[in-house]
Amino acid sequence: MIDLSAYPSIATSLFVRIAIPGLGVLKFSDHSVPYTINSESYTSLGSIMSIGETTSELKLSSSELNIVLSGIPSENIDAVLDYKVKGAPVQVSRVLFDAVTGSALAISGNPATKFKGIVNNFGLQESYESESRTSSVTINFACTSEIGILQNRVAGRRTNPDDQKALYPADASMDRVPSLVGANFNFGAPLRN
Amino acid sequence: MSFFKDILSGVGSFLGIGSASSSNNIGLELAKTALMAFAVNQTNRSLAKENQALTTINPYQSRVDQGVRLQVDPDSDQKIPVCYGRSTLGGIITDARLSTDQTQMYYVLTISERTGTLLSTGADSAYVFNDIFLNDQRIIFKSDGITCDYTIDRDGNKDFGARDVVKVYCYAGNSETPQVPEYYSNGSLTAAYNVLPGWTANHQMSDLIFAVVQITYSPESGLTSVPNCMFNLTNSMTLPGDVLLDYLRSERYGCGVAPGDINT
Repeated sequence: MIDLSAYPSIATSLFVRIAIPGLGVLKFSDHSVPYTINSESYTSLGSIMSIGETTSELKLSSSELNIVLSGIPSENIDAVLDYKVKGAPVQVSRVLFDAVTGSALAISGNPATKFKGIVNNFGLQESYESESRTSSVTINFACTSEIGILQNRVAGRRTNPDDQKALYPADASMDRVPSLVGANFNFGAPLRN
Repeated sequence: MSFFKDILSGVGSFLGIGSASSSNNIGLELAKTALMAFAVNQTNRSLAKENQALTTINPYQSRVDQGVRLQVDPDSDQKIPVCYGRSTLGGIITDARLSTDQTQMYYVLTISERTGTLLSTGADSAYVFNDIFLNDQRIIFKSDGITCDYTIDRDGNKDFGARDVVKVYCYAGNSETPQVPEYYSNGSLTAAYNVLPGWTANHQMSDLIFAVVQITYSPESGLTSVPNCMFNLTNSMTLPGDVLLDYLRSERYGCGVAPGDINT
């Protein structure tokens, strides 16, 4: 547990890192100024970024997190649609700052990883402003934690030819499983000519 | 009527009541009933003899055993279990074959996935078939480790009904890795595709622990249907670290986590 008793006031910011294949690594935060963590610079989005609540648990559990980016010019939406955003790894870190000086607290456990998972889904919502005749888009990344990914993962070989051949294409061992259902064997019956 | 009167007088004399007229009537009725019963009995015996003669016209035809009609119950959605350490498992039927003369039935019982390499030793997982149970009775094999000699129930009672009727061929890995249960040895084991009729070298049962159960048709043994087989086997992968890593890594039955993502 982080001891914050020596600080009269603190501020926190969340830093999001999404590695989209083909596009690159998106790094942004709700911090007021650009900030560097582990030699990676995070763009300051301020209030146009919001992140849903996260929970801290001792026991591993599956959780979901929504990251919302609003006010994105519609011409930048292609970047979302043209690349494989779904399945992109996401990491959210929290950094504690001194509210007076604005510098990160030099304490153990800062920054801390708050969430690690993948983008499970994303949604786009376009809003049109008639007065300025512009439109902007809000993107919602629905993220699933790694525990959730493991829980939803379907693994295991079933006793059917499809599963068997998916792993071993030349293996005919289970080819007869479907045809055995309802099949009759005249065990011990005399042969008829 | 003189015949009946003679009998009546005899019966009345026997009963000691022949002097009374009412007693004569009762005696007459008794005699009539006895005679009728005798006649019916004789008629029944005669009819039974005739029926017996009719049924023995073709004795061979009536004695031919028509066998049994069997159905197996495979399940194409059943997942193959993974066994770590020692456990007792039933098998999933994945194939069934009948010999050409219809007197031998073969079942392929898939027992478990074959697990990977042990982190602690670097060796592959090794399996031992400790015990095999047939209808809840432990099989004692003959010296070949395949043919059933007799079975033992939970109270230690021996049952020789399955002797030479049941054979169990065990495989630990694929069709070409035969082995016999613990404490048996056999230097002439053969691949599963040489045991099962209709199987070829393409029937590999890759990365599977399985058994082929062969049953010879024998109504006397009572084994004319699919028996309930259980296998007690031991996987050499028992340490928690080995098991956890294996389950995390395996794409076949586990989480499929890339080795680089696991700090060992």
